Amino acid sequence: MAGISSIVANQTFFNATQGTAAQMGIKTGLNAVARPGAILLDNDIDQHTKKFSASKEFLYQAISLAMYMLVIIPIFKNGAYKLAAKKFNDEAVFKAFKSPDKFKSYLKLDEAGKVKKLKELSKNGDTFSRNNITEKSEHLANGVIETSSLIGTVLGLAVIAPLTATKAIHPILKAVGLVKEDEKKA
Amino acid sequence: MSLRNNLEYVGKNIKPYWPTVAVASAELIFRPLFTMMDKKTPDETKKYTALREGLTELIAAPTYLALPILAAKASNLIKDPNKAKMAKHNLQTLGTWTAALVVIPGLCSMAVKPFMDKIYADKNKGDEKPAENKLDVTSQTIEIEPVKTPVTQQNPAYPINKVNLAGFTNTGMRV
Repeated sequence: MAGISSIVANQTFFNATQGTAAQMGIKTGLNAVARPGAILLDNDIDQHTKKFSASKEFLYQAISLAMYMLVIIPIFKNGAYKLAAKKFNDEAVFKAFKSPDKFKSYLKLDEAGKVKKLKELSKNGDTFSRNNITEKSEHLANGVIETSSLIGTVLGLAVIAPLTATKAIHPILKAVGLVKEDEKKA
Repeated sequence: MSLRNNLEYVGKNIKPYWPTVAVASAELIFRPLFTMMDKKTPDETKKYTALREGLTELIAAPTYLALPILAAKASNLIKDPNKAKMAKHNLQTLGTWTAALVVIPGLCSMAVKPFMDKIYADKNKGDEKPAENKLDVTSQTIEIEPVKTPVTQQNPAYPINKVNLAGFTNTGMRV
């Protein structure tokens, strides 16, 4: 039982899967491997169709993942964080942590680590402590990051990726010599 | 509720399965919509694909919600509150991935394909031409094909005109 609980309550796994962007990034990455794998294992499909479908599925997931991690999430997360810093200008948390990534790495620390980090940040003139960066202000900053990431995720993976990735797939497949069986005959 | 309160709520309570549920719910609307907007695909194919995509997402959205919640119940067995909190998060994450990689594809192959086959089989039934009237009792007698081979006189001793019986039909009374 102790062995199972230490596996299930693994700290590294817990830290690596914090946040919407990390969650969806890993999930899309797994899809990019598992879905083409499942197609390749299917014995009811002929070799050419298998290759074509598996490559198409891999490319779709890979393009979606790249677009999601490199374009959509940074724009939404950083943009919303900057807007929140202006709107909630009385909140010390936005003054202490200028970017969402810096705040997220602070959030992963334990209580002693947080106090130490705030002391370090106070050397620059401002005074940060657990009195002005409370649990409630942490929830606010985290809420800004997660809400913007959620909106970016839905827009990115359900709207933008299907409209753009599908257009890029066919030219790539054609370039590597993979075309549909009926296109080949034409 | 103000914006600040809403943001604080999300920041405090965000769960690993929220994004997947949100994406599956959005795809329930957008995937069939984009398919129906495609002008290059024939109408019947579009309808079939859109219905299939809609059904897939209809299965995916509640599964993405239910499986992580059920998986997280196992964290109640851990007594240390800090470890239990981490276990809950990890089990919810693993539940989401299991749903995406194993459970949803399995459920879809079990439910969506047979459902689609049934709908399209029922639809095609209406399009079929009415069957011709057929006798429900059929004769078991073996029918013998009439032989059309010309029969010619073989004996040259009687040089009479050749008789071709192929075209001969007996119209007289049978004795």
